[in-house]
Amino acid sequence: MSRIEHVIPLIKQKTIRALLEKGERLDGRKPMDFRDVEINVGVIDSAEGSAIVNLGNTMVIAGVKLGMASPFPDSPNSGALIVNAELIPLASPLFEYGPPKEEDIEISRVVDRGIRSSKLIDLEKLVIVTGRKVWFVYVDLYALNHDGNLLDACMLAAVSALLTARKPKTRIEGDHIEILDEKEPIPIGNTAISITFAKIGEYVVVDPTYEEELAMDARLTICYDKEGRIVAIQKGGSGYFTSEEVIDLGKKGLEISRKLISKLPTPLSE
Amino acid sequence: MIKVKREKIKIVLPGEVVKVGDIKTTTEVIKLDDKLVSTLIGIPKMKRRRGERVLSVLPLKTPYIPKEGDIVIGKIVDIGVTNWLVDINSPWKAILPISEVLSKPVNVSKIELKDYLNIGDLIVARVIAFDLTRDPLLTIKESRLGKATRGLFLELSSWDWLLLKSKEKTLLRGVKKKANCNIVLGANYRVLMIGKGLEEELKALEIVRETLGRRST
Repeated sequence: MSRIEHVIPLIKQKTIRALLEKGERLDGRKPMDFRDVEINVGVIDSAEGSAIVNLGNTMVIAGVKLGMASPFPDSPNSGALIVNAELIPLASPLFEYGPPKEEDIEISRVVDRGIRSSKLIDLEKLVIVTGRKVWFVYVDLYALNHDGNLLDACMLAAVSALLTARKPKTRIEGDHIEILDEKEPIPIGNTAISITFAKIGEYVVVDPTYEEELAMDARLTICYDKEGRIVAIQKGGSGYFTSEEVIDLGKKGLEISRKLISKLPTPLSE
Repeated sequence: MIKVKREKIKIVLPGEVVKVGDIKTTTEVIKLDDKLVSTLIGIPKMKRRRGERVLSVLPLKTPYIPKEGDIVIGKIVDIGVTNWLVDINSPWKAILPISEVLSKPVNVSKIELKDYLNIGDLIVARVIAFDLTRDPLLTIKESRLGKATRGLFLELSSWDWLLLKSKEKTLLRGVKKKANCNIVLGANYRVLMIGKGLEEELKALEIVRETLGRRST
């Protein structure tokens, strides 16, 4: 029995590059076209917030759970956000069970950074008793199908799940904290969206498919917030982007992010 | 059993009793007492093998199981000392020895195997030996076999591929006539379209998509 290798046929690479020369892609898109996005929220009953995102054939599920815990000693009056992404074998024969690998960790780190630096959740409003009890927000991401650009799909899923998540109300009686059945939306302050570009040869495409990911030299992910500010940036792969390219992509990504933000569910707290 | 109304196709699920009785079965159907139980999702089918009735289940989705004599499209994934390792879209990795590539005897210490076939190269090959216990053996020492230097490469699901295969003759003729392309249907659910240029190959791809009836590739 053998393992499937990360090898793209040289012929396919040639085809992808020859098509890009003409400004086309294998699936019929233009270089700066994002695939169709479909977001379904509230798919898991037992979670406080959840979403399934379909990005072409890529599919990701996100669940938000809340837990009460003591705050971190260095931030006594703020809740915490913990993002965890797992690429399970269900998604692709390339993924295996076991401890998270580099790809899993990169996804969870980039999603975490985008949500955190855009201040999507108002963590300070998650405090129950200052210095003693706060809400921890756990975002769990699972890839269900891998056809490239898991990062943007995970970001969309995590944000959609958070925007529609509800936390239980609490009542404080002396030393005792009672969790009520009544629920309220979690405090939302912003939105985050990520756009991934892949550089194949001298050409740049947005939202790479699995085959394009195998053929690419470098990858650049830019996260934007509601006002179009760049809140996070991540570069991967062994190739490079010139500084002019990065500035240009920053502008192109902004246009695409505006379209994507309109597809996100409306936050419950608004 | 789920019955698809219009097509009148029966689909069985894993663990479902396909038939009761003493009939010979293929490996995907197991016998529990006198019940014949499917181990996969598929369509039950009676075959005739050496004059005997054999019950089999045609799986809806399957990896390629090598068979001697099949023409497959392989991808070189590793280079050994005297052989190449080829991914043939199957649980087994195929072996392509030097003797099945070059016609003259060579000194392995003096040549570089990657000068002939490198990682990522596609080959059209024939399975010459396979018995489930050892890795399949390939050859490219025949006419119409060998390294593909250009072309458009497709990987299909087993079901889509079977659909193409059932219309092979019209497909080959259509692609030759309308797109001036050759098309290779590898038994391992891979398709290679070879034409003079990208334009022709894209036209061929369009014909394949039409044949499949939807945008699945």
